[in-house]
Amino acid sequence: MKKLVHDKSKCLRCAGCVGVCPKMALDMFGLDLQIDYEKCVRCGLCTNTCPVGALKIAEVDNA
Amino acid sequence: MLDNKYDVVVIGAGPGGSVAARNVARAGYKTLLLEKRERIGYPVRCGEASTNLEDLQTYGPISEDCIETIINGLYIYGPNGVNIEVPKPGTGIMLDREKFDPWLAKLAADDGAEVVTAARAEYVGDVETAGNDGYRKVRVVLGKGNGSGSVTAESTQEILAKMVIAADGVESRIGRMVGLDSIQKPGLTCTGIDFHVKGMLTRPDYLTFWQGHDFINDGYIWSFPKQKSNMTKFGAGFLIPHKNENIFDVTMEWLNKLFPGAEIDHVVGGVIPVSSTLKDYTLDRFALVGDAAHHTNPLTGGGIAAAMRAGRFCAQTVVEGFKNDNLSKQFLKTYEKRCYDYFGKTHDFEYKFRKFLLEMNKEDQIGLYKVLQGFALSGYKKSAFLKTPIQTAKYLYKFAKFKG
Repeated sequence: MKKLVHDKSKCLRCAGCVGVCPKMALDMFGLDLQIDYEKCVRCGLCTNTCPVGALKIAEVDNA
Repeated sequence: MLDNKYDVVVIGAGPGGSVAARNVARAGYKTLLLEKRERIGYPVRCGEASTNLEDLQTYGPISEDCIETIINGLYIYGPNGVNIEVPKPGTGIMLDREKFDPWLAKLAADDGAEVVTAARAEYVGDVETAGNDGYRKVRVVLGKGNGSGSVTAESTQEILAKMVIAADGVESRIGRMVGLDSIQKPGLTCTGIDFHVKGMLTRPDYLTFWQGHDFINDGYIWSFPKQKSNMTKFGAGFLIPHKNENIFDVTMEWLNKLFPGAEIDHVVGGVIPVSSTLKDYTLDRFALVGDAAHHTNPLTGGGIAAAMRAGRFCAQTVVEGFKNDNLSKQFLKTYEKRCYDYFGKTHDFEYKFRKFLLEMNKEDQIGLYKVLQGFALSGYKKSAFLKTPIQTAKYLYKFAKFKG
């Protein structure tokens, strides 16, 4: 199963990903990115936008 | 705990939001300024270069503490070694946004706005109740910061606002919530990275750029000096999506190539709308300001001065609206018009010019840089173009024909 994965250690907290997400699945509160997996369609726009590659669409276990 | 009713709720305490909040508050309206981060201005997500001080000072004197450098010119490395030097004393300033943003927010607070941090506007509703009693509901999540930027939600409160000004930056969520097309779109959005490098890499009172096919064509590389901190912001940006390259890696590669051995202190990143101003960014009792309205220069990516100017125009129009009992979309269009006349027209032109420049092949680009170089060398005399009349006419004709 493919899923959007966020690497907090890389993230610069610029929130650019929030602005490009066509589904408004992303938001920031303080400096923490919140991902709404019910809204995310794994389109990959945020992964293209992130200046440091902190967001990836990756294969993850269902668990 | 917030009050239940406000005249104006401003979302986002960047330069646009703080200026808007200050100007409505000082006119006597009950104003709330919300910032979702714990610390205003941190982390920086900006190149921090701005327009000349004189233009910014029309807002009021800018605190010395916030100014890093007075910029006296530009140097542009173009394709095929065609470089352009533009000496222009006082053409811009370098800001320290970590100081500048809180300073602006404090001015808003000093003039009567209630400034609340770690507070996220989660939802903005449609206008309820017709006429002068109309309002929008704003649901605010109030949080508590842990001192290092993480915020934990503590309570949620619903408040009523006669007017909502969303200056929520590149995130542009609030506008979308109420039906405006404020999303950042592929091809019209730039992603960038900025290394804070110790010492001065380039001329300390100049902004230095590398642009064109030999460097980054759908963007540019920059070196911006922060004199007070003795740091250089070396960065780069390009349009998204990009051919499987990451702007961080690309910038690092250029830093190593141009300035081997450079010592990086810290890194910031950011995303910039470069679509030129949105076609529509006001509604009944609602307006967007700054990056959220795409008030950024589509060629340079600069947006601080425009956001502040928009904040002023927005506040001015809203105050007039209150006095006339009219905060309709139709009335608030005056705000859009004021922005368009002041900077929007220029941004539309720069947008067309960027597309024109980017779509050129290398040979044409070199030719254009040569024409501009001649213009710069002449000290900006229009007669300089007469030295290369055929070349100049060719580009003018192409540009006029270019649809953008």
